[in-house]
Amino acid sequence: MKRFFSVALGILTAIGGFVDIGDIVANAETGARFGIAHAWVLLVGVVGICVYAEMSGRVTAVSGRPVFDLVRERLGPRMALANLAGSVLVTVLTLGAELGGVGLALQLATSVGYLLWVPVVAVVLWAALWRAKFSVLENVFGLTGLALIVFVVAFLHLGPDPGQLWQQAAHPGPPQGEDWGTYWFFAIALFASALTPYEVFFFSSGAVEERWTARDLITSRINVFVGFPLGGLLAFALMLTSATVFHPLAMSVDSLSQVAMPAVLALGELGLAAALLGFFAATFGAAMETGLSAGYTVAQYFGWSWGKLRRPREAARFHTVVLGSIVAGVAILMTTIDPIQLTEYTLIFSAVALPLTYLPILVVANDRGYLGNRVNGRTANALGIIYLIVIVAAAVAAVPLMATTRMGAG
Amino acid sequence: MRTSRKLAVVAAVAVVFWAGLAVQLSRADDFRAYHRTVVQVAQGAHDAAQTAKLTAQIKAGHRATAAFTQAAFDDAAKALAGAQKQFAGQAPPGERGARLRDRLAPLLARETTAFGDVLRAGDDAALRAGARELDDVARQLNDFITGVLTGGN
Repeated sequence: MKRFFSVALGILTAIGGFVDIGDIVANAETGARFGIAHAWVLLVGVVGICVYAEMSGRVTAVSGRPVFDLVRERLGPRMALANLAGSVLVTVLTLGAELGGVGLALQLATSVGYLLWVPVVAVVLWAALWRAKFSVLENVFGLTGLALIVFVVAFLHLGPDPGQLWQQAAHPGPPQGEDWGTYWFFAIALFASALTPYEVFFFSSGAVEERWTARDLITSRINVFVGFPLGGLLAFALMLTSATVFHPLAMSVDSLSQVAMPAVLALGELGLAAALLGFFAATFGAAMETGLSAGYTVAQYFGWSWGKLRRPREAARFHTVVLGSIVAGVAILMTTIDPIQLTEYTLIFSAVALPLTYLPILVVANDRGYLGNRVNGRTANALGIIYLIVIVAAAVAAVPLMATTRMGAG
Repeated sequence: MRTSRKLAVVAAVAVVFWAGLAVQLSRADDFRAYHRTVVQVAQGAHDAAQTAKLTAQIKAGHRATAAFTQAAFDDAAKALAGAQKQFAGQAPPGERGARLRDRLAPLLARETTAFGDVLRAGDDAALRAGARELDDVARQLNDFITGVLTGGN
């Protein structure tokens, strides 16, 4: 019974923890401008993160070591350094965007400007990462993130036109007034939002924190193959509500208040409360994950003692990197860059850095020295290679599309 | 390749990129650039009008907290101000551009007035009236955008 509850809790946490500021922004923006013509991209992205998260979970559960540790050992310090540089840069930018998202959620709840909230949120985040147990952090924010189910309920209340939505989903492409360049630009942003690099590093390092062994492989797979797709459904609900409310008005979405509006229109103050709680939990939870991920990757690369299983004094350099990342995230926001814009940039840079993250995972997951007979099977390799090709194509196209479409402005 | 050569290649690429950027940014405004700006301004103003309209409807229906509607109005105001700043920052390059400007400017002025009326609305009836006005402005901005994109000017 205890094991059942543990698995159920893992699934719920995976669902609630799937959505972050990137998913919120990318899904709401694409829903408003393109309807659900990008639904297939979300599906492709969710399957992709499942494929690679399963690999990294398996690598960690079998070897007892986090993926990044093995990447350095298997591919050498140079390749791992490229991986480290790309992923840490994107992770710190993402951390800044998540902190901004928390600030914006609090601004919507209190009308106090988000920039005033950011330093407060940063201190609370640091204190939480310093003091609280890993499982408490993961479970509390993962479960609270389930409040985003309000967008599923709101979608049903809004009385959508199923025929219209099906038409959009079945005929992918730009609607009138948009062009293929912006369509693909947003496709890449949406794809990158599902496959953000920090997610696999957090998943794999978290497995070490929770002392997974080969016996936990089934738990890992259930979390990935049940929790992530259901989490993807929450992201899809954001796209659906945005497509239902904003797309018919031919308007775009560029603020968090707009993202919350469908829930307010459908369910009033209750919907607003749930949406804000969901935004807060999703962004604060992701801020914790990105802060820890920055510490994990740097500490694992340099071979330092790391993790929340150890006392802070025993992993001082790890905690210093975490603190430094939080300070860097706050500094980025203090330039007064709009957090939504920061998120958009982060998604594009994330797309560029994706191959650096996912190629090494595929290599390590095929190494019998670490995994014995638990190396990738044919299906995992076929999917892994197909996704790697898609990831490389997205990485190559991201910056040219960003320039030619002026960040999707058209 | 030796490190010094690699560095030289990277530096050359950076210089070419920077020079390209400088040429791009210092190019004199032409009608195409102005046309693009006008469309972006109209789209920004249209989004602001729709957001303000929805917020006014939410406020009139007492469906959200004052903090939320205030923040949503602020977001719409910021979007409108951004569009107006962009509009004011670029002069029309010729007669065709001036015609575009003269069609868009009254719509922006009308939206500013309607937005102001909504912000200082004292009761639900005034909010609803303001929302209707914003809806009308948004529709006209949408027609303007469609006309400009399909007709050229």
